[in-house]
Parts: sequence; structure tokens; C-alpha cells
Amino acid sequence: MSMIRTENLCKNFGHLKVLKDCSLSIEQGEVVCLIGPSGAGKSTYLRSLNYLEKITEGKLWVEEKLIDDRLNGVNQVKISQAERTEILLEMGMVFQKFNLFPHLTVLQNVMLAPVEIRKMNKKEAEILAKELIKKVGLEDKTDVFPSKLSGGQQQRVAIARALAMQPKMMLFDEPTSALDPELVGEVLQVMKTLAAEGMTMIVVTHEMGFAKEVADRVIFMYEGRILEDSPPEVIFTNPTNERTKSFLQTVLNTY
Amino acid sequence: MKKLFISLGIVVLLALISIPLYLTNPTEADYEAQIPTEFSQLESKKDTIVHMDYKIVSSYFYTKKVTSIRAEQVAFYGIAGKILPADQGITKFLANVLVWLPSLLEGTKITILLTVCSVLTGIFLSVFIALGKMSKIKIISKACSSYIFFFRGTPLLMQLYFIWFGLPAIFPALTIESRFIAAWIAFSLNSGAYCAEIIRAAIQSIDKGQFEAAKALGFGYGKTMSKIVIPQTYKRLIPPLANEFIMVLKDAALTSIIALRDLSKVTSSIMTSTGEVSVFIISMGIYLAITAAFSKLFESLERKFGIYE
Repeated sequence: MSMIRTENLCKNFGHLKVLKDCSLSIEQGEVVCLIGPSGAGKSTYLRSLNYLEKITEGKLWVEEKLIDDRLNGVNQVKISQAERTEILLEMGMVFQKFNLFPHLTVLQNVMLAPVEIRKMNKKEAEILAKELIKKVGLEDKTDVFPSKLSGGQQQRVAIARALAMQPKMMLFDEPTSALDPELVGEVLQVMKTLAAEGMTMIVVTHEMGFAKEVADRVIFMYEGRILEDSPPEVIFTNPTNERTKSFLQTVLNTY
Repeated sequence: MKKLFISLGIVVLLALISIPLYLTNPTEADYEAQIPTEFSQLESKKDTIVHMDYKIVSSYFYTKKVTSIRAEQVAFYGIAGKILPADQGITKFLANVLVWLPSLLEGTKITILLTVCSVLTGIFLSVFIALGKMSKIKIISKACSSYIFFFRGTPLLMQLYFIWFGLPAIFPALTIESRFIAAWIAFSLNSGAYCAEIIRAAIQSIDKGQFEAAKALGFGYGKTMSKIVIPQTYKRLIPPLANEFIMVLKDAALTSIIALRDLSKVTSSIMTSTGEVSVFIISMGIYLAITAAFSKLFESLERKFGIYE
């Protein structure tokens, strides 16, 4: 079953076309990495999947349910906002800049959404939250405010917070780009564990090593288009597209 | 820490001085005995005895000394059973303080009550106005903008005049009986406009990422605001709101035009009836004391709300 499918997805910012006819299908349990130079539209694509960006044209299916079919920015599908929000809850999102809630402790950050949105009982939510915090290896930081944590720790809390909604898939928007190099590993480690547990993941990343090791498919985007979609062993050794080749050459040589 | 010790020391010192004075508690007869003979001869002329049982200065005598030309007021005041003439300099000033203080404190009560009520009501109003101004619905946003434009663009004095004198003349149904309530309404509406801009600025200073994170977790607009954004604005709100509070405290003096007996009105009426300008010193001292107390309160609030940083 495909978890997310897009067909001819387009996004314009005014006259600037950021996404051009992006069609992609992601199956359950797959780990997909989006790579490409900056400005290629990777983040915009990821953000339009859970409605942080409204697409201009194209179709979007979540769990085989058509939730968006746009023509000139108007949704042709009749779906109530509540219904759509309900469907989008199946997607957890992790941001480049963590976006933790600074006025809440780690535990409260993780607990907030289950209690407020899923209407979970507070005690249950606390048990769940503590479990997730332990999973990301921060059980000693439960009652600390985010400002007292390192970037890597904050990003792990952000992952736990997204997982607390018990989503079926996770979207990662450059989760390690804002981190000091020595903190990248701990976050990637958590993501690897998630992948091993069979979580469906879409990851926008510049970590080629992670893509090589964990991804089932690697997608190369360039100037708003999906240019290549292949398993990592193919794309890193024998890319078909010229653009992919030159991009990977530049990126891999710097490491 | 050092400041705390100094203020504690002052409190202890005052207590040490005032406790024995308080315990002596002289009777009226004790004072009578001390009145210089030249006055006691005129005892029949004794006008009033203002007996006020204050802690340090316990009693105040008031008598009349008749000269050949005119009747002259001579005041005495007593400290712990000793009587001192209060007809000049600091003694006179202290004696005046004792007489004026009750009515000044009455005025202070009204000033503080009006300020606190108006600012609280104003803040309550302003949350909705601020959210309204940021609304995507054009009509609401325009309406809130015009509200702010109107109340910031016209003098508070005019607004007060209008509510007290203007409204009853135009719409007799809207006559407000109590001066205090009229002032409260005018001040709330006015400070609502100012606070709305403060709150809007604070909300817009919150990182866009917070809204995105909330949306990604499924939060709607109301919950995003109430659970995530507004709690983060508290710390940023305190300094400008403290400013607004102090402004309203001083603007409360304007209510004297509708004859509400606030601190300024009481002060000026004392001045006009006695001709003593020293009452302004006391009055300003009271204003400073209120401001200082509330500044401390706001400081501690700021610390409390900023605990996560």
C-alpha cells in the first residue's frame, strides 16, 4: 500500500516555480531520502506533503485517500478541514531548527500534543512520553527546558515529540543541518533505529552516508524536478542522470 | 542580596523605634498638662482636638491663639506623650501630613483601584483586539485596526469627557451613574488599544517555526495560540505592560475633570483649601511609592515567566 503518492505536484511562489510536476509514490515501511542542491525544492516538496505549503497544482494521496487535487490553487476534493487534519496526523514532522516549545520542559513538549489533540489521558500520555524520551536516550533530561539542551539533544526531543502522536510515517526536513558535526551522529542513530523498526520515513538530507546506509530509495531533485529515483547502490555508483553525477561528485568529494 | 539586607535593616530599625512609642499610648490629659501656660489660659478657645492614634506620632492638638488683631491657628503634635509646637518647618509639615493623610490615602485607594481595574480589563480586551487585527478576515481586521486608530489617536481626556458628559446627552439610556465606572470604562477602552499593539508585537515576535511545529502536530489556530504562542509571549509582554500600567496610574489624574476624588484631585483640593503647597510633596511621594511597589511586582513576574530561558 502506498503511504503517500503525489502526481504532477506543482508549487509556485508568485511567478517562481519551485516544484514542477513531481510524481512520487512511497510505500509502507520505505525509507526514502531526498537529495539535491539547495534550492532544488526538496524541503518545499516535503512541506507540501503535510500542508505546511499549499500546492498550486497536482494530486496528493495519503494512505490511498485522495486529499488534494488542485487546479490553479483550488482544491477540487471536497474534504473538511477536520477530516484533513485527522489524516495529516499520521505524518510526524521533524524540522531543521527543532522548533521545540521553549516554555515547556522536555516531558511537557512530548506530552502536549497527545493530551491536547489525541485527547489522551494525562497519565497514559506521561507513560508514553517517558518511554519515547528513553527511546531517544534522554531519560535524564525529562524535566529540563529545551534551552538547556544541546542541538543534538533538542533534535532527539523533537523526534520523540513527533513520535508521541504515533504517526504512521515521519518526515524529516534536514534534521541534522543545523547541528555541530559531532552531534550529527546521535540524531542519525535515533533515525536508524526508527528505520529498523519499519517506520515509513521521508528524509531530506545532505548526509550521503546516511542515505547510502539506510535508504531504500534515493531521490535526486534539481530545479523543482525529480530527476532520479533509484536504490542507493545504483545512484551512488552508477547514476543515470548527468546532473546527479555532477552533484554527487561535488558532494562526495568534499567528504 | 545587599539591597535586601539594607531594606530589612530599615524595617527592623523602624520597628525598634515605633514599638516603644506605640506602647506609651498617652491619654489626652497627658497632652493637656504639657500645653504651655500661655495657651492653657486660652483653653476655652481650644477649637478642635484631633485625636489620631497613629503608631509613631500618636496625637495631634489644635488650638487657637488669639492675638489682638486676629485669631491665629496654632497646632501641636505629640510624639510618645511629648507635645511639640507645630507651627513651623518640619514640625508643621509633619502635623499637616497627619491631618491630610487619611483623605490622601482615600484618594490613593481610588487611584490604585482605577488603575488596576482598567489595566486588567484593558489587557483582557486587547487580547481579542490583537488577535482580531491579525485575523485574515478583512472586516474583523479592519474593525480592530480602526478601534486602535481611534483610541490612540484621540486624547484620553476627550474620551473621558465624552463618556461622562457626551454619552448621556446623546443617548440618555447610556447615562452612567457612578463616576468611578465611567472612568473605568474610558480607561479600559483606551488602554485596550495600547495593550493590543503590545500583544500583537509580542505574538509576531514569536518564531514562525513554532506555528509550523504546532500545525504539524495537528494544532488548530485556537490551541496553537492558547497553548503554545501566548504562553511564550508572557515574558516579552511584562516590560511594555509595566510601562502601560505606570502610564495609566499617572493618567488617572485626568479623572479629576469628572470630579472623581482620586489622589490628584484630593491633593489639589487640599492645596486650594489650605493654601499649603507642601501637600504636593506628600502626594508625589505616594505616587513614587506605588510605582516602586508595582515595578517590583512586575520584575518578579518577569523572572517567573522567564524561568525557561
